[in-house]
Amino acid sequence: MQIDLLVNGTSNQFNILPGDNLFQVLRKAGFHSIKFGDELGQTGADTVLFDGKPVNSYLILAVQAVGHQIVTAESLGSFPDQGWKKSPGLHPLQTAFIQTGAIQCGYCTPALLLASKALLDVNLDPTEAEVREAISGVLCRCTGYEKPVEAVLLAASRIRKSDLKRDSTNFFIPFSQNTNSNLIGKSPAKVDALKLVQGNPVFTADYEMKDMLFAKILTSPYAHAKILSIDSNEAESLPGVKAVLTWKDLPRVIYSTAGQSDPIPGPLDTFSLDDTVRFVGDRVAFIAAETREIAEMATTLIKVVYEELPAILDPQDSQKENAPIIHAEVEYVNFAGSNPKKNLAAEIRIDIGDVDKGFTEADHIFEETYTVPKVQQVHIEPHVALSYWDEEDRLVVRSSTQVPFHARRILSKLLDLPVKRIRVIKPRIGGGFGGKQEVLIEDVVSHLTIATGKPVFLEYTRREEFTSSRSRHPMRLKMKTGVKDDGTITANEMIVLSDTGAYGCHALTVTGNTGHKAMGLYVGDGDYRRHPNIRFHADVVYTNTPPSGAYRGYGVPQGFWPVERHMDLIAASLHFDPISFRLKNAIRPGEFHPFSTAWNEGREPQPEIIHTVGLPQCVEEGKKTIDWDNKYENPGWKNSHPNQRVRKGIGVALAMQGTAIPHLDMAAASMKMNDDGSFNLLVGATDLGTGSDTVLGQMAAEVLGISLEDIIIYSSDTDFTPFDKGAYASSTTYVSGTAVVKAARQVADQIRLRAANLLKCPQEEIILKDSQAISSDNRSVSFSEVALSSLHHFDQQQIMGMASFAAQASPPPFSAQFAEVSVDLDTGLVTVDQLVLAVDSGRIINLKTSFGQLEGGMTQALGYAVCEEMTYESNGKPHETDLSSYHIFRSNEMPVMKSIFVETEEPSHPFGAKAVAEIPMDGVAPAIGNAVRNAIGVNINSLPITPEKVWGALQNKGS
Amino acid sequence: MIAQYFRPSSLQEALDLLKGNDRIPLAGGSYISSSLTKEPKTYDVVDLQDLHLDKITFSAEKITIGATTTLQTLIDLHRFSDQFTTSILLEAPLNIRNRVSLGGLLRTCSGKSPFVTILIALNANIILEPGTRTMPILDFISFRDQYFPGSLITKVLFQLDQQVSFQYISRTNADFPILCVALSMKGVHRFRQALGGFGNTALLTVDGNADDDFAHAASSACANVSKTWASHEYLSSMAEVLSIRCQKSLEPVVSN
Repeated sequence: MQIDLLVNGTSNQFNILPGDNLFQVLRKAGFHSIKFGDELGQTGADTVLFDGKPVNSYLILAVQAVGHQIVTAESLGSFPDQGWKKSPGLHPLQTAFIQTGAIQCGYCTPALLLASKALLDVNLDPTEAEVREAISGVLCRCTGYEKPVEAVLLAASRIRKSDLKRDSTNFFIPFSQNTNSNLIGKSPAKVDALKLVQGNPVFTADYEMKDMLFAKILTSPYAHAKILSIDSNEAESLPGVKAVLTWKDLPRVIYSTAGQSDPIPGPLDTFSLDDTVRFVGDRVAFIAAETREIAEMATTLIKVVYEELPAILDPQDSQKENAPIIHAEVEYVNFAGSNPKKNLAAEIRIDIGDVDKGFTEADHIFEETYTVPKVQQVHIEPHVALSYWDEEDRLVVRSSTQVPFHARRILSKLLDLPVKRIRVIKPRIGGGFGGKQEVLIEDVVSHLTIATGKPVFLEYTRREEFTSSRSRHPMRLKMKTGVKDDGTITANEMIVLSDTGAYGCHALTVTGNTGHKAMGLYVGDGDYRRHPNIRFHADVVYTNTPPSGAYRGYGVPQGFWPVERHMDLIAASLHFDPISFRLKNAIRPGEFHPFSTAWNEGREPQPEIIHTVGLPQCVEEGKKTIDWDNKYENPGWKNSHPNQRVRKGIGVALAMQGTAIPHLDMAAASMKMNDDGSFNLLVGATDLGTGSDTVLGQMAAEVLGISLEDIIIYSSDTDFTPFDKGAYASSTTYVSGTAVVKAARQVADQIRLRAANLLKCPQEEIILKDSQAISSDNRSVSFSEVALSSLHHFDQQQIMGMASFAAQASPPPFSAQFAEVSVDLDTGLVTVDQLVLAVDSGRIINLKTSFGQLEGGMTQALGYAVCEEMTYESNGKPHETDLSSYHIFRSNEMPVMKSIFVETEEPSHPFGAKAVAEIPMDGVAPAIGNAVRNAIGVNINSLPITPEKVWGALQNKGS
Repeated sequence: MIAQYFRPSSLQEALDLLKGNDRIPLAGGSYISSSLTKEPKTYDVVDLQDLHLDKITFSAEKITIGATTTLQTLIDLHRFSDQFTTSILLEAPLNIRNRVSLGGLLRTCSGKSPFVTILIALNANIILEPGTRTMPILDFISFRDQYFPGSLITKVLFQLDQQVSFQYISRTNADFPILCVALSMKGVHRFRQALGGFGNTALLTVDGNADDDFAHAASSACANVSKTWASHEYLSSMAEVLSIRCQKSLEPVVSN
C-alpha cells in the first residue's frame, strides 16, 4: 500500500506492507538517527516524536502515522559550516550535549535529544526531576545520565537566556597547579560528537548494500543435545531463502571466540557450527534470505532431531563424579590447566609466600563465602555485522567490534582465507563493555557471504543478546583471612568456583584477573609488605548455560565483592575503623604488585613495582564529600529517615584495577601532515564510546602544539590503520596513547628540522606552539608553510610518523567508593541514595570524558549491586530475555552521584596517565553491601542485594 | 502477519469491520507491533484512532475515560492522587505510556499490571460494544480470550467518591513491581483490595467491609505462588506488609 507521511515537516510517499512498522519504513528511507535497541520499546533507541511526544517507532505501524507529524533527530540541526553553504547550525540541545560531554557512544543520543526537545517545547524552565522523567523512556548504558541531564538544563537556560544554576557533581584535585599543558587535563569536545549529535549514519547497521541478504541463526531449544539429523530442504525451498548452512556444510575448525592476542590464552573448544549444542541459544544453523522476515520464517522450517543429553546448570555439579562431559570433541585444544574430561576450562593455582604459615601467625581467622551473579553487558547497540566480497575478491567485514585485528586473525582460520584477503572495518560502536571483545557473529555473516557470494547482514535482537551472547562470569568465592590483634593481615586466601558457561572464552584470564587485582590490594603490614602471603585458587568450569566472557572490569568486580565485604566484616568484628584497617594493609608506592611475581596469564611472571598509589587521598576526599565522619557511627543519622521503618547506612570499598596487560598489549599509530598544517592520525585502537579517539588526539595535539580540530582521527580499519590489540583491559590511553605520542614526536622532530631550515636557526631552538614553529628569537613559520615547503617546494618529503608501543607495566588505578543507602525494615528494599567515587587514575587527559566514565561505570555497577541477574529454569531456558524482566537503571531513579579525581603522576606514561574505564565497576556493590550492614546489621553475601535477601537476613537476625 | 489495515471513521463502521474473522482492534499499536507482526498467522487490524474514543469526563461522582486514552494522558491530567499516578508510572516507560491505550492495556495485560490492579480495587467497569454492556474489568480480563471476539471496549469508568491506596515492592524504584497491592474504600463500609504480581490477572482479594482481615487475605492469595525474583514466603509476607501499608495510606482518588 502507498502512504504519505509527514516527516520533519515534509510530506514523503512510501510503499509499505500493512505490517511494516514506522522504524523499518523510516530507516529504509534514510532516517538513520533512529536506532534499533530492542523489540519491546524498553531502550527507546528507536524514539521519534509523534505529534510532539516521544514514542517508539518500532512499536507503531507505519500506516498508523498517516496524518500525524513525525520528527526525527535529522531535523534538529546540522553541521554549521558546509563549505560555501552555511547552515543554521546545531540546535541548542545538540550544542549542549556536545559541550557537557553528554555523548559517549552516541547510539542513544538522537533519542535523548528528541525526548529532551519534547520537554523543552512545552517547558523551558524544567526542574532536574522533570528532565529525568522526560528522558526516562530512553536507556543509556554509557553515561549514567548525569551529563545528558546537565545538557538539557544547560540548553534550557540558554534558550530562556538565563544562567544555569546547578551544583557540579564533579571534583578535581590536580597533581600540580603549575601545568603548561594546552590540552592535557582539559575538556575539549569529543572528536566524534558532531556526527553523533546529528544522528549521522556512522554505525554498522547504517551501511546498506545492494542485494544485501539478512541472516538469522536457528538456535538450540535444549541445554545439551546431540543433533541426530537436520533437514533444511523445506527452508531452502522457501522463496527468498538463499542459503542454509548446518554443521555438515562448514569445515570443522576449532577456535575460541575470545578476541585476544595470539596465542589465545584459553582452550579452543568452539566450532562455527557443531553437531552438539551446549546451551539454550547455541547455534544450530545459519540462514541467509532476502528479508529478515523470510530468514526468520526459514528457521521454523528446518527439521532437527535432537537427542537430549543430561545438562549441568549448577557449576557445583560440574566436577562431580559421573557428571556429563560438556566438551567431548576430539579436536579440543587445552590451554594451561584446562581439562575437558573434568569440565574444567581453566585451573589457576597461585600461592604467594607461605599462606599456611601466615594463618598460624594470625590471632583471628575469618572465613566466609560470597557469590556473584551472571549479568549482561546490555550495550544498547546489539551485536551487528555485515560482510561482502569487494571488487578484488577480498572479504570485507564491517562489524561493531572492539577487536578488529583479532577478528581478522580468527576469521582467517575459520574461513580458510589468508589474513591478507580479509579486511575488518570498525565503524562507530554503540557501546561494547567487553561484550564485543568477541568474534560472536562475524563468522556467521562471513560463512553466508562465502556460501551466497552476496553481502550478508546480521543484527541480534535483544532476546538474542540474552540467549546467545556473552555475560559476566558468575562465581562462588570463599574467603579466608588471618589477622593479628593489631589489624595486620597475615595471610589472605580466595578459593573460586567460576562458571564459564558452555564455552571457555576468557575463562582463564577473567578469573585470573579476579585474584590478580582484588587479592593484590591488601598485602598486610610490616614485614608482610615485603613478604605477603596470598593464595588464589580457581576452578573455571563448564556448564550448559550461555558462555560467560569479557565484561567491563574483567573479573575484578567479582573479586572486590568478597574482598571488600570481608574487610568490612573483619573490621566490624575486631572493632577497627574500617578505613584505617584497609589503609594499614593496602599496597603502597614502591612495593611489588604481589601477583606480578607469581602469575602472568599462563606466561612467565614479570615482577612489577607500583609507583603511584593515590588511595589515602581518595579516601580523604571521598570521606569529606559524603560526610562520612558525621554518619558512619551516628545513630541519630541512621534513624533520620522520615519513614520510621527505614534505616540509613553508609559504606565504603577500596579498589585497584590494572592498566593494560604488560608484556603483551601492543598498539601502533601513524600520523601524516597535510598541506594546510592539519594532520591525519590513524589508529587501530577502537573507541567504543569512551572518547578514546579524543584522548589520543589530545595527546598528539599537545605534542605538536596544535588544536584538536587540526587532527583528523580515524579508527579503525585493518587495511589502513596500524595494528592495535583493541579496546579492552583499560589500555587505550596508556598503550595506544603512548604509541600516538611516539608517532607525534617523530612528526614534531621533522617539523622542527624543516622549520629550522626555513628560519635558518638550530633545530634544538625550535618550539612548536599554536600551529607555529617558533625560533628562540621569536621568528616563526606556520605549520601550513612547513607543510607546503615539505610537500611542494624543496627537498620534498612527507612529514609523517609511525610508532608502536608495547606495555611493560600495568600501573594500577585506585579508588575509594562510598555509598549511602536507605533500607526498608519491612520489605528489605534497599534504596541507594548517594554514590561518591574518588579515583586515582594518574593524570587525567580529558576531564569530561573521564568523569563520564566514572558516572557510567558506577551506574552499571549499581545494577550489578541491586537488580541485575540472569537466571534460568531447570531446563536451562532463560527467565530474563528482555529489558523489562532484566532491569537496568533509568534516568528517573538514579541516586545522587559525585565523582572525584585525585591526580597522581604515573612515570611510565608520557603524560602520567593510568586507566579509568573499569575501576568504577569495582567498588559500588561492596560499598552498598557494607552500607546495608551499617544500616541494619545484617550481611548480604550474595549479589544482587534483592529485597528478599535483605528481608530474609532480617528475619534470621530477628529469630 | 498483518494482511489488511482499516481505519474506520465511525464506531459502527469499526464494529462492522471487527465482525470479520481474525480482525483485531488497533489502538496504540505497541502489542501488535511487537508480537502479532511476527506471527505466521494472518490478522487484519482495525485502527481506532479516528473514532474519538479518547475523551475523559469527570462528573461529581465518576470519571469516564475513553478506551483509546493513553496512559500518559492520565498522568498529564495532574488530577489523580500520587499513589494512583505511581501505578501508571510503573506500568511502562514514558515512550510506551505515550502510546499504550487503556483499552489496549486491558486487552493484553497480565496479572502483574500495577495499573489494572488499582482499577480492580476501584471496581472500575468497562463499556463494551456492541450492545453497550457495562462489565467489571475483572470479569472482562478473566474471560477476555473466550467470550469477546469482535467486541470493543469504548470506555472505562469508576466512581470518584472513593479513597484509594497503592503499595508495591520492586527491585528498584522504576522497576516493574514484584508485587503490588491496591485498596479502595467507598464510604466507610465498602472495601476492595486487589493484588497484582503474577498470573493472568490481578486478583481481587477482598470485597467487603472494615471487619475483613485484609492483610491475611492478601497473604493467603500468595500461598503456593513463587516467581523468579521472589519465593512464596516472601510474597506472602510482602502481601501482608503492603496490605497494612495500604490501609494506612488511603487518599482520595482525585485531587480537587
